Amino acid sequence: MKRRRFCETLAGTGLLLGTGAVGALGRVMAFEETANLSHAEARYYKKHPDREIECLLCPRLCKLGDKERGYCGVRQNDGGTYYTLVYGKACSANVDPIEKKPFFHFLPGTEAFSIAAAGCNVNCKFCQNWQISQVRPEQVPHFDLPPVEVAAAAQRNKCRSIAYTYTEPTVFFEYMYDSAVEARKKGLKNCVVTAGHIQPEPLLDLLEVVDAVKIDLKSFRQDFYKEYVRGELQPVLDSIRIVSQSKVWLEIVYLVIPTLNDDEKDIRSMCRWMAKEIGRDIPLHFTRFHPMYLVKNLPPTPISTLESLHDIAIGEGIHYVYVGNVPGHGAENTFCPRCGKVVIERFGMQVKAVAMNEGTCGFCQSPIPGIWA
Amino acid sequence: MRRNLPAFLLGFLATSFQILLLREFSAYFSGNELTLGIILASWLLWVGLGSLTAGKIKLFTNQASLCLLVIFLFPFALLTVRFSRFLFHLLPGEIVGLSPVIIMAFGLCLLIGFPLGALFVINVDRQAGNISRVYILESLGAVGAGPAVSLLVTLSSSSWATAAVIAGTTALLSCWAENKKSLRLWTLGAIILLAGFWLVDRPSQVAFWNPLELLTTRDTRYGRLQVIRAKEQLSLYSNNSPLYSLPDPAAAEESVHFAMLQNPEARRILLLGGGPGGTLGELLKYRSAEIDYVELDPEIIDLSRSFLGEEERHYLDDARVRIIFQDGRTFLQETKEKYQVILLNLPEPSTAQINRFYTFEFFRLAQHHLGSGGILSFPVPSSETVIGRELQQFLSSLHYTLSRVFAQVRVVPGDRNIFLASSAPLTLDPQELSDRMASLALPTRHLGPRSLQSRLHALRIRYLEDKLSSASPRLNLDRAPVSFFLNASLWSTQFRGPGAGVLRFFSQVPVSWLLGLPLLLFLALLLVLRAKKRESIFSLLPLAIMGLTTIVAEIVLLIWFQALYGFLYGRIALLLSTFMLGLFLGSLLSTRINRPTYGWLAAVQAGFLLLLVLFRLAIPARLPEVLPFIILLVLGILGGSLFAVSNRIYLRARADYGRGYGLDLIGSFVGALVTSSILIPLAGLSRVIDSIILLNVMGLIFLLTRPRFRLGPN
Repeated sequence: MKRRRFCETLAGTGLLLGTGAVGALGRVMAFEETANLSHAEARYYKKHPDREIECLLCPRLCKLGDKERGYCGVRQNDGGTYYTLVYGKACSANVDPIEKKPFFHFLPGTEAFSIAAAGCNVNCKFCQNWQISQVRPEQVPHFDLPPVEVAAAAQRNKCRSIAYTYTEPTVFFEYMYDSAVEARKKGLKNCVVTAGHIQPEPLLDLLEVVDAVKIDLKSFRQDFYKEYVRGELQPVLDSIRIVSQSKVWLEIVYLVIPTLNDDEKDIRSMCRWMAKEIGRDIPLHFTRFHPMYLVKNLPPTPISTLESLHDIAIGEGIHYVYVGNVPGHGAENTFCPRCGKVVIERFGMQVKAVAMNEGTCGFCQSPIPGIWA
Repeated sequence: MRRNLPAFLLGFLATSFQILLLREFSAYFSGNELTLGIILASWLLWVGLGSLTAGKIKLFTNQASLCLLVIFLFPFALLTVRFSRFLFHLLPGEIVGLSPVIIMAFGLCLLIGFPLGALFVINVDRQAGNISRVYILESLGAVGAGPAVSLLVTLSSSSWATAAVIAGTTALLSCWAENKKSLRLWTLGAIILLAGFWLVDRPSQVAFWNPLELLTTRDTRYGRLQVIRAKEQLSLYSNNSPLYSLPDPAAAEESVHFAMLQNPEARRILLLGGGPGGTLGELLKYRSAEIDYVELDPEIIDLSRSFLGEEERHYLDDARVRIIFQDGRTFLQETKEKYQVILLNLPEPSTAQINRFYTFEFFRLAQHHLGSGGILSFPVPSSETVIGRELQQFLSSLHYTLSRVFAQVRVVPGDRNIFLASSAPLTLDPQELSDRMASLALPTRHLGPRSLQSRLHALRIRYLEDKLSSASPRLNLDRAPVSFFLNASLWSTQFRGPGAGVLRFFSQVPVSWLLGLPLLLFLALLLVLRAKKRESIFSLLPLAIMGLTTIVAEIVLLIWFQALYGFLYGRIALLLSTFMLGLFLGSLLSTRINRPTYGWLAAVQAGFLLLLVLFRLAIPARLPEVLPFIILLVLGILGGSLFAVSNRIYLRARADYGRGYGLDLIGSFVGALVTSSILIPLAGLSRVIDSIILLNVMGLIFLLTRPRFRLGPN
């Protein structure tokens, strides 16, 4: 009991001191920082007796008593009503090349206004953005950037699209959704960078307002998801299938972590599943791991591993297979699956040459799927 | 000889095991001051408790059997540290948080430290209660342990081989000293076990890294170097942290080009650390560059030459590269060379040792060696997307310290921030940098026009610069090395649990409270103890104060020494041996006192005060290198004398040999736990010594105002 009180005191002290610091910072930030969290009613939840609620946003389906928060830490039951604490509260806003997400078949060579709010519904040991994803929103400096402002900022920065990225956008679903609606009003496109750990109903609603989704498939094994992601594989596969059946553009990224998820048999099974369930035209990126967060002392992925996996995927009939985070590698380019010629030449984030005509190969006129303009 | 040998062996074995256990912990856990402080404190606590307990309960009476038990247990302790990743379900390459360190340190130090503490008491029994003699012999053994470990590690390149040789030799000598037939078989068993332990050194390291492949391993006096292979990807690790991985062009390119593109014509380049792994190759792309590359550990270059292939060998052997094996800071202190670019390519300031390269004093030294318009640059891990509170404090301290020396400081955003400093203007204009790259036809992979546009986007730069300028930064000084504390605080936030908030909590406590509150509590304790009027309190309390004082003064002195003179590695064994020699001499001298009294005790306590005041006055000055040795020797002499006098007074009334030794170590435990990890970085060396002076003043007044006791027979 004493120990718990001590921890609470520590947390409380940190919170109070942090609040002061954030307030002081606000005056000089590019975006005005604030200490306040939002209190907007969340969507996708069910009310139960005794002020309990059940969150229906992600496969965790958290059942929460009064004043409790979901696993993500950013959605709270307050008196039987469920609230999102990060609506309009961005903690990061940058201008990134769309290739950085990576999207290779979606507005190549353009910039995406990229935003994130705190929190995540999985817990990866190799998270690149652990400072914002693995903490409570109170611990993260954030600023007021309501949906209308998101769209305006994207326009101001000459971006063609808005990317909901860095953390897991599922947990700031309402903010993402409303920003996407505002963006569309201004003629901007929307792309989502997600782990795909979302329930079908909110995903289907989201697909109505966004243009592209990139899903991080972290492994093709449930035990990997359980141990290193603290999530489930099947809901991710379901999400991939749902997006592939919609009009929204889909790309899949597989971060290859040496010794953890680089088994060739698994990759072969994954490619066969893709070919059967979602078709051969969905781009698949094998990206190189750089040491991060809790596994920062692991070595980077050997390039030959990426090449082997790339070859397996090509051998299994996937049309657009890329090697990522290895600038200058030949497998960064887009090849026409019919004539085999390079239709988009890349070097890192640089799009060097495009040999395409309104979505078709510049050499043999075969259609190259994607959103090109 | 046979009678005195076990006490000598105790000192030798205990100090050797302490060093070897710390080395093993450093090789697999984050070796920052916080974790090392916890391990050292656990050790002192359990040795102290072992001594206290053995003074009361006679669990073991046979010295040699208990010594053998420790020798049997020690290999298992080292093995447990090595295999701790399996116990805590960690991956090879996964960083370890505070909780496993605490569990392992307290558990394993109990296993080894507790019986070693008990052995002290058993040895006093064996010497018919002559505690001074045991203390003298034990100190003498400890004097030899540091150099012996250093020598054996250098000869064998293996900590475990060193442990086996030291433990085996001790077992044999102990058996000889005891001269009992029944022990011979056990000794033989211990030797066989140790031989097996030596043999499993490499296989156990292979198992640790599995499924990655361990190509080679080598223990040097600086730590454990290992070459790890994952297919063609080769990585050199020092104490379980990668020094570099090849190929990793992104890291090499950003370490070099942001600085070099400021002045592509620069000729005189100084590279401090991290040459192999692509950095030298990137530097050599500049045709006029002549590089002085300073590397501390020659083994790093030796292993790189052996494993990294023709291209890296070619860079190391290039006529434009001069390799100097020396501590980088010492090199800069001694050389008269001027440079146009100084690249610091070292690990982040996570320890006091590395922090020496990120202080105000070091930056001034670098500035002195940079001509007008020269550039200093270094990378530190950061976050491209968001700068959290701990990261902001850490980065701000570096930025502020650098800004106090250089007129121009710019920081490149990214998952690694590249700090650039100069007296001349610096540019982070992506177009300008791209143009310079193009005009040089610089072949790069990761740095290109679009990646520069993204990384150096105005929004990113403004966000980072606002973060750096809006915190309340702390100046990182040699004498108040705050950046490594802030780095430890950042490190601790990666893990869940209450440990994550502890350092943050301390960083917010005003320094006056941090130092003043413990002193007030101590004063209250003295008043309570004074009211009890028990003689044992007055004879033994100075021991606890001495334990705390000596360890705090030692740590302060080591940090002061390494800041001033650099090369701590080569001198640390000598410094600690000097202190041990002092202990030996002090206890030896005090045997000449026929009838120790409280007056003697007060005189020694006053001697401590005088020494501390002199030390305090010396801290701001740069004095001859011999002075720290003299201070440590006198500190040891005073400590040894106080131990002997205090115990002799106490033992006149009660034959409890363990209590004095135990209190000495428990005092040390308190000092070890907080001094280097919290007090020094936040309060600075001078104020920590001020507090210790106050503590000793209180102790002296406590002694001088004691009630009158009738001393028993000597």
